[in-house]
Amino acid sequence: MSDSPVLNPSKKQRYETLVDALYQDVFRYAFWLCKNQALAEDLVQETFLRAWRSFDSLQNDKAAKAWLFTILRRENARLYERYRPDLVDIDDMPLHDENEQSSEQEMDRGLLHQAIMELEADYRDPLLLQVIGGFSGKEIARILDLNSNTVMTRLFRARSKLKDVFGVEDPAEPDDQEDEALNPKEQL
Amino acid sequence: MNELEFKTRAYSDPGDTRPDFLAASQASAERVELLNAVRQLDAQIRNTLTEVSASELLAARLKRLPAIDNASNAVTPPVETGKSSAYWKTKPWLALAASLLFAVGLGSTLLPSSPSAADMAFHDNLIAHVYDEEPQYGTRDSISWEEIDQVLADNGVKLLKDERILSMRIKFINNCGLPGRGRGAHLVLEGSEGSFSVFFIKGPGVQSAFDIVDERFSGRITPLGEGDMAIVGEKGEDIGDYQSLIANNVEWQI
Repeated sequence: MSDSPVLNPSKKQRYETLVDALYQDVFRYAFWLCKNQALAEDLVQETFLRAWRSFDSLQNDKAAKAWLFTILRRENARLYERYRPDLVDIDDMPLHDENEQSSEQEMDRGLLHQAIMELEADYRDPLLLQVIGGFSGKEIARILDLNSNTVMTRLFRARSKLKDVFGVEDPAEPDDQEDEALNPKEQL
Repeated sequence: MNELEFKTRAYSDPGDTRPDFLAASQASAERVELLNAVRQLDAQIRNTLTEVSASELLAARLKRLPAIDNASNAVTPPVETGKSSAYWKTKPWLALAASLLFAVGLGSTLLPSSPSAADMAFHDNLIAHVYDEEPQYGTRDSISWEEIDQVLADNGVKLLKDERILSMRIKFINNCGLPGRGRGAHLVLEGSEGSFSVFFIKGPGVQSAFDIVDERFSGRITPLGEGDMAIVGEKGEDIGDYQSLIANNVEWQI
């Protein structure tokens, strides 16, 4: 058998702390990107494997989440974007205790779940990064390689499309020129 | 802040806490109502996006990645064939072929290719399977070679009747389902440290050989001919010896 070199314990411990802190969020992001539980777990595993292999390049643990999300996006593009089966069944999703929910709430949640699934990727991606990742507009812009105005416009449109599920007031739609004119000093 | 800008910012980031936005949100009852509605929508979105969760085993699998990756990157010593130097002297052409094979083998071990996520998932499933099946080992008085032949043939593989293999106690043979890989033949023999398992799984498999990492077991998963061979035994077992023994006596049936 091979003689495996000994792992650096502090590096391994740091990695494990990172796993505990972030794996659920990374998984949720993966799930909503690929829309499949098994593929999402594979993606997360590949992401953490790649992260481990270049772990020394992570200088600041506070940047770890953005780093992992970026790796995951690349892996998703590399591995699964061409293969995007519609395998998701809402009934299979792990939900909270159904006894705590009224049937109306369950219906709303199901509708919203479906509406998020059906959002175009351009609108869904920044929303996922904002809500699951907790990233600011600037951070999302960096991760998606977009300018900040575009990110804010896409977030606006994502929520506008989802609002119909709950009948929230219809907002005016900013056009492209408005994107640029939108509060340039205080974007994000 | 005009109405359009306020609405755009409310929908873009309803959790915005900057003073100008908060001040603008209090400018009219309509704005208060709008922001409340968008925040309620956002809470629903958040609940929906975060209600999915990974299986409990995922974190444990992720934590094992460094050990598996580390083991797969280690240089594996070449397999001992057990042939004496005199044997090679009498067959120089075989010695040349063996040298070439050795060079290819050494090259592949010096240029390690780490297992993919799918390979690692297979690794985990294999170990889980060994733990699950262990209570069945040795529960039958004897297992005939014909039965072994039949199970192996069902999985597209044949084990030659090597004297050393024939001298070992066969404790278990079965067609086993292996998640992600369909089925495979699972053979268990008595080793020096206890039972050791040999799996043959036909079809495209792992990208390259890598070690089993487990608290109790050691072993190796190796691409072999038309499929994969995996050996799993108690720590301390000479897995390399069994690997050579079995690999030298296997024929895939195409």
